[in-house]
Amino acid sequence: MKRNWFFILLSLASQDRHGSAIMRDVLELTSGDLRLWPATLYGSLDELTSKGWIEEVSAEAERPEESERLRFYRLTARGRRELRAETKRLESLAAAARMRLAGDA
Amino acid sequence: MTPERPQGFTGALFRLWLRLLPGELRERHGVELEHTFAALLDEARDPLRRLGLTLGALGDVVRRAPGAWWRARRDAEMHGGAGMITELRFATRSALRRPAVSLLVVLMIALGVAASSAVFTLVDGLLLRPLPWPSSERLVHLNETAPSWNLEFTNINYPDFVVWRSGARAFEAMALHDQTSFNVGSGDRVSRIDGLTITREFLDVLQVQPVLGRPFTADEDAPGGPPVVAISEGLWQTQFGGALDVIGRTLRLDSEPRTIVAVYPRAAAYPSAADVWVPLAESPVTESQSYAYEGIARLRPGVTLEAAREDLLRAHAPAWEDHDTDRVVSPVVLPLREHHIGELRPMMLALVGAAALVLLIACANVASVMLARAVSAQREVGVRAAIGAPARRLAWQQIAESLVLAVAGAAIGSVVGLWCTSLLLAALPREAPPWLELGPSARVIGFVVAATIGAALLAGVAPMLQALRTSPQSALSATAGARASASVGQRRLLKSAVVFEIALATVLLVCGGLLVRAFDRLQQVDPGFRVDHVLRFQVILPEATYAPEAALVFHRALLDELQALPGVRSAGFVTCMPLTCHQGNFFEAETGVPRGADDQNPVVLTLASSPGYVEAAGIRMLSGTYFDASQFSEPDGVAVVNESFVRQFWPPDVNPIGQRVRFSGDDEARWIDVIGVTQDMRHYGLEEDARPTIILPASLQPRRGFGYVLHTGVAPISIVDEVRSTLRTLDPELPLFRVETAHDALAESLGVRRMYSWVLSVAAAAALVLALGGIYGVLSYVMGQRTHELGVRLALGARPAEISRLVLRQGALLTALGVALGTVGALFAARALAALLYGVSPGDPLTYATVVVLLCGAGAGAVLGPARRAARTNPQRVLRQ
Repeated sequence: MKRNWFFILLSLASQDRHGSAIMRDVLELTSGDLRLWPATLYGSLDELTSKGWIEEVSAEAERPEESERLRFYRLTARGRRELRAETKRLESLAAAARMRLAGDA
Repeated sequence: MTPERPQGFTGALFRLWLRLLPGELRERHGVELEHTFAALLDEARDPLRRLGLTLGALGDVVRRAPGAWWRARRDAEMHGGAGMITELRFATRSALRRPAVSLLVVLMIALGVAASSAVFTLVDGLLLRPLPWPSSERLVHLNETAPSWNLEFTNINYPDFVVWRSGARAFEAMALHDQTSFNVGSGDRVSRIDGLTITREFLDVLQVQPVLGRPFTADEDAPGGPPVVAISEGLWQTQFGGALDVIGRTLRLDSEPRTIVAVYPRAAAYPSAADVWVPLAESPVTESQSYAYEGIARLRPGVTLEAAREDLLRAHAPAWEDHDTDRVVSPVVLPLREHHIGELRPMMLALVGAAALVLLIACANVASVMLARAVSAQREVGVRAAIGAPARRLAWQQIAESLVLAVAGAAIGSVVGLWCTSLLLAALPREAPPWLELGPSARVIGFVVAATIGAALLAGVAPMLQALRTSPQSALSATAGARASASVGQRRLLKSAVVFEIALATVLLVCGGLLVRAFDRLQQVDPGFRVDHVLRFQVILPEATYAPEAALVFHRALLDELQALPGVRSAGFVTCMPLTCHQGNFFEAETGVPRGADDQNPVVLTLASSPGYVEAAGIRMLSGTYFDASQFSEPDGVAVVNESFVRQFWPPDVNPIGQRVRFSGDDEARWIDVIGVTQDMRHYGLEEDARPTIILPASLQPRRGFGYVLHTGVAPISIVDEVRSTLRTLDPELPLFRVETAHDALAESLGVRRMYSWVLSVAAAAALVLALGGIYGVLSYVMGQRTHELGVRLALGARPAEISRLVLRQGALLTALGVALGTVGALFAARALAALLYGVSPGDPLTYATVVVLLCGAGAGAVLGPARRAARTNPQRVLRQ
């Protein structure tokens, strides 16, 4: 899974967010490592939407105080499965890495 | 709350920047992108940090743009919209639906691209591609000039070079070089190999490293130095099997053993192909009047050509004081490329012009075909517009279609072009020098791509405008069953394309015609020597085994044997056969008009020959006699001179026979009796004027090498084997080389001219065919459009002959207009060609008249078909429709 995708899914896992909120959240999650620049961010959001891993929240219903022109995104059930599977993969990878590095310490 | 958008300059910049992204994405996310950008900027107050973030965001847009466009196109296609691929597929299908027209267009573009890419490959190799040495722009050619000797280049005198070498400061290094050749024996096969004589700085100037070994040392490049040689990689492989211990081994050149000190790469083969290099080893103190070498030098970084010239002139001053107080000879510095390409420039210009014109005509032709086709497709376009296709898309389809055709044409054209390039190269008289690289480069490929896109745009722009203008109503409301017809403006456009094509074709035909005339005139020139039934070759004896006198004895013995061969009518040898080398000297006549200090002292071509030479070579005697065997050996010597010599040395009323001449500049020189006068001969080629020439008996100037001329009664080539075995019986170590017929030698000297005259004629013929195709197509089309009108006219009583006349008149008008414009253009173009015309006037009436008649006749022929068809219009059928 692309790194961008993983962190966007991760960001949406806790709550629905709009674009710049995702950007800020991902920046915090990675302690400033991963900056999702605007064009990259919306490109990835479109890709994930077309894969069906996330979806737009109809704005009025969920966040009436924000304009309908700011789209909120939420994780779909499929997106959550994908995120879980990727997390597993990363865990086993991390475990393997720890084993190999154990001798170094 | 509306999303916050970035303010001020950065905001505007970002908004503008977003235009790099496809419209769909901007429509969907434009505001959000700006919002995110504003949020991004909010993170920091520090202006530098904000600048960093702005640049990051801008860079990101650029990075994502290609992918976004690709996705947008793909999505549009998936939803049945104008995906790029659909568009191209559609265009291809549309092109295939009319195979004849499409094939025509593809072939026309292929023709244009082939011609222009072939010529551009030549231009690229000769003018644009850097020469294959490091910082080659700093390399210059050195020579000497002597206007008062009537010589543009005298070549360099060794003592002068020594003066330059020590005095000049603008040069990193300078060297002399000279072409030479050697007999090399391996087993019982003796061959002649090409070599270069160089001074020790040669590799430094070129900045070329030896593959093995080292450059020549100062010790080796001095009289009496150790006999050494450097060999080429090719010779190293073939003769020595690439052995690493080749250094120190011995190679026998002209029977003299030389120690191999280096293997040189191909890049050291300048100016001509070479298999061996030997040091020049001349003495700087020789009181030498011999101007024999060419020079090459490398300028110091930052030194201009002008500065280098001044510097060399300053450095030359001691040479003037020492041996040239009249300052007759002065140094010349030329950029290396100019030295080699200079005389080819008019030819290159002619070829480039011709190729550009053919490409233009092809494009004009394609444009008119495409326009005619777009007009007939008007109804279809109208329907599509009516059911909602946006005009922009319809226009893009026209461009896409011509792009598909142009790409197909260019693909064929560049393959044919490559083949044409090799044809052009093969047509060159001599093998191209080894350092000249010709072939597809990035620039050539770029040129072909640019030509293709240019052709597509030229061809597509008229139909595109047409599509943009099409309104659904007018296209659909055309009368029932009607075919759309061209508007007045469109017809005018079509016709002006035809006029333009005919004008360009006229220009090319005139230029081609003038060059053919010049070539023809040149071939009528009497060379002054026999061309048919003459075999020529060279025999050079090695210094190591023959003293000069022994060499002369050998050559006379060989000549006797050759004269006795069956099939040989007469034979002779000479130092320089016609069309080969030059050896110049100064002479004075005993009773001649004394020359003033400023008068030109002509350089006299000095030949030394055997008895029987003029007879064998077919040089006519005008008066007196040629020396026979007894006069040949006369110690005081006799001489035969040519007409030009007589004109330059004696007043018209003096009979030259019995006069005496001698080498000038030496009061001790012997006076020589003139016993005969020959006609002038074109020693330097048919295009060059004859020089004053003197022929002396070879006994006065003994040489080791001579050129042999055999006048044969049979086909010259058929006796080569007998000649070779004759030579072998006298000395089995000697090779026979540069064997050729005089006919071939003359043809070779005209090779470059033949090539470009031929190329230009082919281009002119292609232009003619294209232009005739254009006028035929357009008139057929225009008349086809007027079928209805013609039917009505016929029904109302017009006679078929009148209808044909109508068409013929229209065709004649277009042709006449094109020819008239083209003639004016040709007058200008021909003036640019003047340098190549060899005395044919750029306004040569015969050529112009021929071209005008040819074009008008051919134009009438092309119009005849449409005219006859128009006259045969069946009024009943037309009116019933």
